[in-house]
Amino acid sequence: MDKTLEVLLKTFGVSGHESEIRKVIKGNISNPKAEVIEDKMGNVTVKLGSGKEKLMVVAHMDEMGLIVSYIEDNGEMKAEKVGNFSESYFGNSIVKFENGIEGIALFKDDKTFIDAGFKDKKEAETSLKEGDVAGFTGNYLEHSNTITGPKMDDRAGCYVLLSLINELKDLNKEVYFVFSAQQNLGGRGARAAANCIKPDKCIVLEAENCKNGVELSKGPVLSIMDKSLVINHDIKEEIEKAAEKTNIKLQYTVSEENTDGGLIQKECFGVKTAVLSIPCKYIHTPTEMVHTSDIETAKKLVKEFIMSK
Amino acid sequence: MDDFELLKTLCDAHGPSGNEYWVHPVIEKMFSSFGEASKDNFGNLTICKKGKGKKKIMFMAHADEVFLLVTSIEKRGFLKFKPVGIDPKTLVSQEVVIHGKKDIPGIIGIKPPHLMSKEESTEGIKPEQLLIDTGYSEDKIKEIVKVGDYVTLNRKMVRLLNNNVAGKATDDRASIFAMYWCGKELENVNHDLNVYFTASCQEEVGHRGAKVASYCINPDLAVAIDVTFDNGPLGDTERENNLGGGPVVCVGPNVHPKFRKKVIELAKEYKIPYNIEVEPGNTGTDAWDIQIVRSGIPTLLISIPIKYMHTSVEVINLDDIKNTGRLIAKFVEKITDSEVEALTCF
Amino acid sequence: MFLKSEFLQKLSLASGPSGYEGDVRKLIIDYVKPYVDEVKVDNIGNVIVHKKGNGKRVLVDAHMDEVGLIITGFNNDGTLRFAALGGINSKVIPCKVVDIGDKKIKGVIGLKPIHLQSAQERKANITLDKCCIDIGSNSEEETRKIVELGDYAVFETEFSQFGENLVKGKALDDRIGCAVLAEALKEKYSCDLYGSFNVQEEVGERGALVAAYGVNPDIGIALEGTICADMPNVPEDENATVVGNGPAISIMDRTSIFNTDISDSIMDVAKSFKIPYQKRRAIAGGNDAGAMVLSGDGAKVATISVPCRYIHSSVSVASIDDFENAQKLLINYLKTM
Repeated sequence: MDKTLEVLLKTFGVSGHESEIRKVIKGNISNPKAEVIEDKMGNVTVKLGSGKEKLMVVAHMDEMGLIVSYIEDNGEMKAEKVGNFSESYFGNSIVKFENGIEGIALFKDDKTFIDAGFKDKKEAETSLKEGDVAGFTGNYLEHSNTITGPKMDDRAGCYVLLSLINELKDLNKEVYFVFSAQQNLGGRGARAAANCIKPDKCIVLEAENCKNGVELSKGPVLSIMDKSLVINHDIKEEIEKAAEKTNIKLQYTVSEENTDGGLIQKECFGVKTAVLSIPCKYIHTPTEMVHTSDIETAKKLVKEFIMSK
Repeated sequence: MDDFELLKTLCDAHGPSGNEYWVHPVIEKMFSSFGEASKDNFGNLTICKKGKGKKKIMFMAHADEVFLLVTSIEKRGFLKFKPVGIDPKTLVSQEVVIHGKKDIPGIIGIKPPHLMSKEESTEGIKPEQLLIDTGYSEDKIKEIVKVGDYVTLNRKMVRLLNNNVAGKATDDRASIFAMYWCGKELENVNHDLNVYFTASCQEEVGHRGAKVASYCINPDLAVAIDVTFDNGPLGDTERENNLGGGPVVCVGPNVHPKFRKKVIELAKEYKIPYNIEVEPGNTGTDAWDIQIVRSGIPTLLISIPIKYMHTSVEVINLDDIKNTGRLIAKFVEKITDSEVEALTCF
Repeated sequence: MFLKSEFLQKLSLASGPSGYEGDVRKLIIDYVKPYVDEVKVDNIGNVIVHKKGNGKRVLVDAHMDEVGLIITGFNNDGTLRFAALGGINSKVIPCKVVDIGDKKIKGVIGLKPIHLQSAQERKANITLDKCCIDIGSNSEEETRKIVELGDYAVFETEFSQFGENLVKGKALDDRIGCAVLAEALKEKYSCDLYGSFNVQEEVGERGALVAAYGVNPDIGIALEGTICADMPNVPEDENATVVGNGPAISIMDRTSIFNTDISDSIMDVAKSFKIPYQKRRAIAGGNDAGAMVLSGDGAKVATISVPCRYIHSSVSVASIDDFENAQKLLINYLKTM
């Protein structure tokens, strides 16, 4: 797979602990005109172009994970979830801490544990402490134009953003590409970014579950409504126009997810917001599967949207 | 147009959450003589009736109604859907309007009793069992409707006894009518306060429009106008609200106490019937969001009692609606700019 | 609006729940009088018409009544208690608009809002005691001055085009049967033809028993608006009939088993005139043919129906093509006798 996508996927960045992924993102910006800002919440905002309209394009850089809350005498670590996911998909998967230590995530008796092989509490405490976070890790499978592994949601979105930042020139609007922090904890980073930027419009680039008719390789998914956002009809029409112009067929969905869009839309004077997603099979599991054509069409569509008059 | 016809036009119209702009032409026409209309980035519509002073009061009623969303297209042109704010039990044998490439009628039906098993007959309806019949073939319907299209209830308002009416979306178009009535009462009044009549968006999906509208207008005072339950056997028997008993003024942490006391004083003085209801926390209305915008806004919640909320036969009293309009108009008429400060301090 | 469904529209909009068929009776008598030799109304209210002929004695019937509601009591907040007239499943009752009595007083059927329902109530089945008819009255006293015990109520439903070549409206069971019979009566036949527009089918085929007794036919054909559950969430073997596949010929139901000679002849007519038809693939339900079997010395019976989705609710759906083909089929079959 593409080297940039690979490094994005393999970098640590659990919600609230995004410094690693932040570094990688900043390091991969090659556009000399890009103005890079890091704010109080840890968002990375890249400003490009100028014009009457202010557009925000956001993808979240954080991943879900586990936070150590207590270290048992036997060296096992009790942990809590960071983000909303079902433990039924994560039993006995491998997690990796910020400092590189790996362990097994276990779900037993309604509690979550991480076993990193420490023989007792003392040994555990030489490398880890309460408050340390671990993200889900694993191999990446590539086959038949699909890529499968952890963190597709939403490093695939971040990849699209980075590609656009590095490719675009001669923009006719003021565009703010935001790599948001803490999306998994309720869209906290993105809201603060929107409060600061006060954009007119916003596209949230996400990953959407393949169910209710949404399929891989069938194009980007426009969410009509999710748990916290009803798509703004003006921006919906613009996206549909852009899709028509680029011959991209959109998929539509009514989603069960919560995205950054919910809080962005209500900031200050309001923002016309839409969520555009890359279809993702087995979302919120250690083996999220996407199709490379969907990443390409999503990028093409957002590019057309940004560049249109 | 007489009052019933005007209310009927407002309520029969379709404006599900996110598409309130479908009903904006009707609202703009009604309020056109009061002042200029403007829309914010979220889609909230505001008409400003200017006063001679500097202080601003915002009245807010939500323009959206509960609805359904198409979630898939099935064989024989039937549609699966997700109800948003509507009890599936009230949807059996209900006629709807499907807003696809064009508006087409739909019917939500179930299998006839003759073909039901004993369990099916006696069990409650499960929302997954309901489908919208479009009368089109699967191929033909796919040319008109797609996943995510909106569906609203099809109901023409009817008159009942005692100035009661029944229809859909009286929650909260009745409150928009109340604001209109307020504007009419103030037509020839020389008032200090600048009045902002706001038809807010997306209240039914979490009172989302209120925050943006309040941020944009930044009023000194705000009144959210919504509907509330009556105290009949099919309502909330713990309350004192009743149809014909006038507007219901809310008491609780979401409501500014001095502001509220002043409004009740005016109701008593001008013999406008009213009732009181208590909300210990989140009122579940736009008032909850308005109160904490920017540096805070002194907020009131006034509600119009209705029966059978969120169904196609909501029953409401036309006199209650007008009395709500009269009450808020009285406040605007009697309160001067200088009194606002005293009213809102703690 | 389709030309051929104007009378059907009038019939659908008329009020005629079981026992109160007056409005429908008048419409039908006015429509068929010019085409028949004799019209009479018998002692239970059936309209019996006769087109004299020398052939076999054939009785074709359809029922005028629809399912409805009847007022059974007064609540002290001014709302009304009610029961079903005919077999309505209580699930379809909530949140409908009704017209009460001859004066057509408007009422709505209320239900407790979902916000106020307990978790149990949300899952529970609707029963009529959880609903009321609300006419906007402020007191029991006021209501008693306007509505009486035993007043009937029918659903207020518009009749109109629907989807592709379909119509929607109330009471298609069995106003569609009445309309098929009314059109068929315009033709000439050699058989001794009786047409019977019956009352009170929905409460036990009551009118038909009296009609059949009076006519004493050799052959009886019942015309119905019949069950159709061709929705995708119903397994195909439970559909009974499919809208648009043509008039349905019954095999058996709760009250009769249909005479294969007659049914076969009907199907032969369909084949030779290239009229689409289907079998009614269910044995649930019952109709007036059952009364013909139980009256006097019985009769050989068959049933031709127009498939209708959602019968026994406030709004049903049927195909205009099925409606026209049912007429063609009946007319051409009667001409063979």
